[in-house]
Amino acid sequence: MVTLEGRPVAQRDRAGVYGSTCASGLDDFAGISPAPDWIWGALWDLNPSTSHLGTCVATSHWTNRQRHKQYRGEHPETWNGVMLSVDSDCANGPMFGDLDRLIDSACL
Amino acid sequence: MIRTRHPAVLSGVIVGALMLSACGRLAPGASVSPTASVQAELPTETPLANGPSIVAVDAIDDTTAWAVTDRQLLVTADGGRSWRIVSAANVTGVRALLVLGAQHIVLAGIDGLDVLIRTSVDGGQSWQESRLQTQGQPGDVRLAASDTLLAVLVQQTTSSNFSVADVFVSRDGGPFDKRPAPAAGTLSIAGASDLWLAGGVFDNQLWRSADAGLTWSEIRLPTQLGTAIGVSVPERVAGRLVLPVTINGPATQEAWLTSSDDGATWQQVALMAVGGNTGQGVALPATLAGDRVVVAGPAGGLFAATAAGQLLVPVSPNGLPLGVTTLRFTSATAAWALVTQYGCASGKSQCFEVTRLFATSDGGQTWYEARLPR
Repeated sequence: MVTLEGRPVAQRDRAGVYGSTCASGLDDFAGISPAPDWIWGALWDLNPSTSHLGTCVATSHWTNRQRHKQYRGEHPETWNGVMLSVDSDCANGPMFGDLDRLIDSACL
Repeated sequence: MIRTRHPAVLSGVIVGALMLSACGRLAPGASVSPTASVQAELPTETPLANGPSIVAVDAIDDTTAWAVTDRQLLVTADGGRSWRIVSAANVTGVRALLVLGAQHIVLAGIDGLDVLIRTSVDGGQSWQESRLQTQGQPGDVRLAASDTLLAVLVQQTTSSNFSVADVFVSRDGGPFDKRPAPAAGTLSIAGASDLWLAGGVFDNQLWRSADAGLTWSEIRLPTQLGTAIGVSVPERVAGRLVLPVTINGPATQEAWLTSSDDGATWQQVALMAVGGNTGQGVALPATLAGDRVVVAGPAGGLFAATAAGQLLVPVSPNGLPLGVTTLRFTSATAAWALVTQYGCASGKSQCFEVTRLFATSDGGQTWYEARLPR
């Protein structure tokens, strides 16, 4: 895998791709070599489960803790007294600083 | 669970006392007092895995409201104290609800790559479906209607770096015509064929179409508002358009703008500190209530101004938790509010998201929870 600038991805890094599950052709990345280590699929079905990425991402692709999911688009939420416009995401794959920890069982 | 967008402002807890700006003025005899923040009750449920339970609510009068959850459509005729399940309604994928009359209900939802509009004119006993096709991947749907138009705004699934949507318009119950939309956001209709759209990447843009969505023009708002604002769609009050604009920051303010020329020019007529800290692009929930436009403050409190710019005494709503996402007055005294609360039991784990419905019949002074059956 190479970066956008064409440089090889550092060995300890893991390359991933964000995109809408259908419209971006996310599943097509499974066919390139090497394939991305993980995907971050956007499917705003309000279901946090990364197992459910709809019909456009094959269930056999990125199965080994290799999925993040954006399950809801922008909306207001208040955290620590600050109201923000955020989207909602679930992690079941590599994350910066904590590569393999599952954040929430609802994300499985 | 990750929450993204504008992470740089994820610091600081500021719930300030209300201050009246120099530009504002209260109703005669009113005094400025701190708004008592209503302490949110911590939910005991952990329903993140089930998703938000209440998707949308709409009401036609003080006692009759419809609510759609992730499982069913319900209707109340007694102000939310009891509910009847509309068993014939298919709510799979529903994102929006609009009640156009006592028996006339519109549901909009997502079915794969299509948008499904389900309409009932007999109180939900029978339904007609219209399937709308977009060129992308629908992510969210908004509805707006006038006496003659029904408009559907379909937001495409994208990262927050983009704001892409299509609008579909049906006239007099006819077929839907697909029109371009300048951005995703919130939609309203004011007048015969005036469509208004507030949104954009930073939620600080306002657009108008005078030809039912065929062409759009961006509205220039007064530069004094700055760019860290959240824009709502305008309401028509006493022959004028009233536009609430949230000025974001650690001490959030709300500005009320009016236009007497259908949006060509705008004048700021009222400004008020509403307490709380809001990030860029947050537009506070706003609604028409009789002759005024009411806004739910981020730290509690209801704030209102008339089209003439008269600021009214802020209301400290008793029984309404923090986290109002939708506010809808059906008269000067009766209103409905959706409240969504978020939290995590442990760090970023065991997170919950609970949406609850509240109602008032005394102008927002006191609220009670309208509990929906599961």
